[in-house]
Amino acid sequence: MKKIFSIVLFIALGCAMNARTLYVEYETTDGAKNNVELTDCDGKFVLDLDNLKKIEFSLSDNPDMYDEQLYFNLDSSKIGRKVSPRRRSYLENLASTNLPVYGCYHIEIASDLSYGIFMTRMSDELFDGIPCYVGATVGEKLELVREFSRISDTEFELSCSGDEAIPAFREFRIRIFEQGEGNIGYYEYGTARITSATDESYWENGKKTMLDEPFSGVIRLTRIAGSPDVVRVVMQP
Amino acid sequence: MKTIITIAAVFAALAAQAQTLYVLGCGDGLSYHEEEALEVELVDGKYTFDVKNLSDLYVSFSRWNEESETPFRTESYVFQFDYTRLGESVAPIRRSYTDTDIFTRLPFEGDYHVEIGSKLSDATFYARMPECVYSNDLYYVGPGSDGSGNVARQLRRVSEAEFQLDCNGENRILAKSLFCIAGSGWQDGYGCGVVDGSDCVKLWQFGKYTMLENDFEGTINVKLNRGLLQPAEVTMTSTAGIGNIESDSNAAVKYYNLQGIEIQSPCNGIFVERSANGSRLVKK
Repeated sequence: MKKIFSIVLFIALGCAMNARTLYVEYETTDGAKNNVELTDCDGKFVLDLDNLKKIEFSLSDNPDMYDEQLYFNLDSSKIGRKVSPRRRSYLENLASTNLPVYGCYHIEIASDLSYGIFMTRMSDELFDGIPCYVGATVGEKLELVREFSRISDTEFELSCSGDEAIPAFREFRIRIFEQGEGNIGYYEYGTARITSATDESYWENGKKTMLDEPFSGVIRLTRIAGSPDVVRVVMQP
Repeated sequence: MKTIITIAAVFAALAAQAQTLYVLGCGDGLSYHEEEALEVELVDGKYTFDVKNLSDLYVSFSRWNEESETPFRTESYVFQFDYTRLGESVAPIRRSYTDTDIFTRLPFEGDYHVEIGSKLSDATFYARMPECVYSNDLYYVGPGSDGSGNVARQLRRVSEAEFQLDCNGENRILAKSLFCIAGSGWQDGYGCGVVDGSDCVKLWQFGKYTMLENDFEGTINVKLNRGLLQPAEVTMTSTAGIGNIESDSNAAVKYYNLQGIEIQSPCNGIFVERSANGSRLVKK
């Protein structure tokens, strides 16, 4: 009996020692700062917060200790995806995780700290902005920015011929600046792959594109209401 | 003349310093055998190579020396990334021979174009993906209807590229639980971020999760696009919504553009098709 009790106590103590605490400090849109301590459950830390503006994670209640801060490099393309954290010390500037939009967040961080997932509602509305080609052209070795022409509310077109053809094996992307109130950056679309000029494909925010042969022709881009992270692109040689 | 000779000597010294990069791994033309290592030279400030059917990669500046008493590599470099970081600059992690994880694992087996900066400062991986549609089964991967555990439920194949998931009764999806639609053996799946749980048509992206703000009972239709890992067209039709739709299956099909404006004669584009059977994206 004594032996069984000892084993149970040993296991319980072991579990208690394994339970990890994550110290969270966050700021809401009204400027209020709050603290919360999380304990992992089912292999993850889970946190739901409203009106979130800024957040810091630490493995220690003494954040001055070196390497005890977790920093997530977020942008709008990483919402809903697994993001690997980086260890930061309190003295470094990037200890605080800045959020691409302010609002309600559901955050899950793996107990082994291998990744975190930030979930929030992104606006379905398309902000006003003209797409720009960002990359090299045959005539220019340096990266340059060329604006598309607007065809309709959601359709845009860019001619790429002569010196303005797109060279092979040089990365490029299509950027749309977010304009208006609360401007916090831009969306950059690409296919994340090497591709030949195809008749149609979806390009995603946060990715770049590389062609396996020079492209001379017209790029047509259509923005999609309800899926601002994706645009439809037709490359017509 | 002396100056020219000096400059030439400096260039020669710099050229001599340029190290050869040794590449081992699993892919066409690659091997784990030292004597078959791919030797890549520095050109225009970077090491560039193409490998077909690549899945694992091992890069190092040092070569196994059979004459040495301790024939171990002193260092290698590992790039940790997933599909979402293709086309982005990735910093390496330096490993010694005593480390266990010394291989770069590619997010999927395929044709890659790799550009590595001089001194292995960073690397960019581009993939060439087949223009076909995924042909195996798809699964819902997420918590069960009681919110616990992590279950996998197979979607019913409706056509070559279309799948359907019944989410009624015991199969309902609870709010505030993360799930995705994944293929067998995938580490990631398709998702779209946060949705409220009512009827909607959206493009779900690979590598993302979905979270509902409200419980969902109904049907999820998934239509994959040509080109692996291209966003999938997903229609969520809630059971409550179906009750409000006219029961006449012959009721007129209506088309809307992506801005929600009704179109009488849809052509040359993608439209939302609404009928008694629900909503879906169609190409005309």
